[in-house]
Amino acid sequence: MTRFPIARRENLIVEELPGEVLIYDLNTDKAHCLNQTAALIWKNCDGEKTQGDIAALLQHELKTPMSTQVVMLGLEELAGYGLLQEDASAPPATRVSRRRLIQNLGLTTAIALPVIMSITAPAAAGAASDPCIANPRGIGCPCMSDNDCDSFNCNGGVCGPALRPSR
Amino acid sequence: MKTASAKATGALVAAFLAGAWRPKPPAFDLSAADLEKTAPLMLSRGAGALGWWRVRESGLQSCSAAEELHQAYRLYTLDSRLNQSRIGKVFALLRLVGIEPILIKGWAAARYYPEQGLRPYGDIDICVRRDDYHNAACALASLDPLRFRVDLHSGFAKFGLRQEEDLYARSELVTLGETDVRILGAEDHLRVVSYHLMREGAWRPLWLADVAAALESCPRNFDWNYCLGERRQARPVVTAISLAHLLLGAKIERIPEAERFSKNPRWLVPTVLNEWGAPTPSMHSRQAVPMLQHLRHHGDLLNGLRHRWPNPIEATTTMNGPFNELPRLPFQIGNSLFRVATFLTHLPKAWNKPPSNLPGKAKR
Repeated sequence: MTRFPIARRENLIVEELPGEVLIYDLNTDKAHCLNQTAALIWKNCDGEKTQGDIAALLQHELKTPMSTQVVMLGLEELAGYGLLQEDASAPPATRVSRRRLIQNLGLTTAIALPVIMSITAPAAAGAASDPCIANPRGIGCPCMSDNDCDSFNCNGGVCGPALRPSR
Repeated sequence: MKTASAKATGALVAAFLAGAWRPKPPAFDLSAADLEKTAPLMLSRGAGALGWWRVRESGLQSCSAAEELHQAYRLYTLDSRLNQSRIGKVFALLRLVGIEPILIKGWAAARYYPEQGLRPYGDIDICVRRDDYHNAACALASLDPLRFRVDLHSGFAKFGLRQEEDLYARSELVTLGETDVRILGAEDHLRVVSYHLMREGAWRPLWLADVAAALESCPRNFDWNYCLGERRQARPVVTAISLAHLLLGAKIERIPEAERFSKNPRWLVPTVLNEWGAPTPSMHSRQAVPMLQHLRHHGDLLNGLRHRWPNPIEATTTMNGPFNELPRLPFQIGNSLFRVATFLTHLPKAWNKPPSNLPGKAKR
């Protein structure tokens, strides 16, 4: 992990909510939710602060003892979700074990550990823009013609995945 | 689910959503079991975020059903941000070819909520003057259909409104990000969300919340005479307002002659609750499978017809009927005949269309 981490800012839609930050990655079309700690780490990855600087900032903001290991864990997570700029010259990161960190730091700090989760449509929430009601429709929805489908591929009455253009 | 049970569940959904569109909704007083039961229905009807707004300050906020609603809230919040930039691009594109569109439903309804993510919308509903429709459709064809789901409407007749120029004259420009978008005036907006709710058989509680939110945000100078003026046209609007008051507790004190919104035919509320409490709303089943597909698979024809039987609210609205105690059957038959006729008119073209494609065929 690079000594002066830099957060990725391009092609992201960022929405700050109380206690968390939502990020939509336009490159991958994936949505993530950063808890307060992960969000603070991400926001402070400006290429000028070291992991130690960020840990000190976290400690000040969250009023909880923070070690650089917590920051390393956060950076590892952020990198895993593609929210940090890649640094090819950086040495490979030493994996930080969340479980070991909790054992070392105790439960009080554990509550403040950085967490990033993917936001997926809950079981039925997709129905708000139901792929089978929307026009064009999503994969697996019934269709009559190619134009009915998102993928322009109506296959045997069901929308299939998009096909490559013929050459 | 039996009808009585569906109605009881629908009543729970109504209790869940009562006042949910307000910045400070009333305290959540359903039990954990009720929350577990209704959360999937809220999610399937696009009201998950609104459900979270209601439950977020209660003792049940951390249970698994509430967490599902919370996820919907997060998702719709991001969706709303994405859609806002898309709306700006659609307006810019149409203005480039000299067309001034009016945005309806979707964001136009969401702006009456405390946060726009509370009111999700899958597509961008745009109305243009009938004369501009063809050019607008051509201009929008350049957009990526996977990212821009634009539902372009020719005029406003589909929403029970007719006088285009009056609607434009009463419309207003509001700021959305870096763009000024045109929306209907407050009176016409209330008419559109009400008519849309009723024409679709009121199967989505979110649409009734739209009516409630618009109603409670009416400006001081709201012209009730214009909004409810023409009696026949105003029937669905009056009924929708009445439903918002009876089921969701929308405040109607500021409306002149408010007492008229407390009277309703006996069949009205049960019809709505039945839709809200059913595992699959009637309209959902209808839209999921096109009739032509039922027709091609003969054994399934009966099923297709069953799903297309309109509920009393849809039938009455589309047939311009009065919402009274008389039986709804004539309107339901009328609505069905009208739709059958429309279907048959388009059938030869659709039937003769060559099969879409064979498996594995590469195209485009």
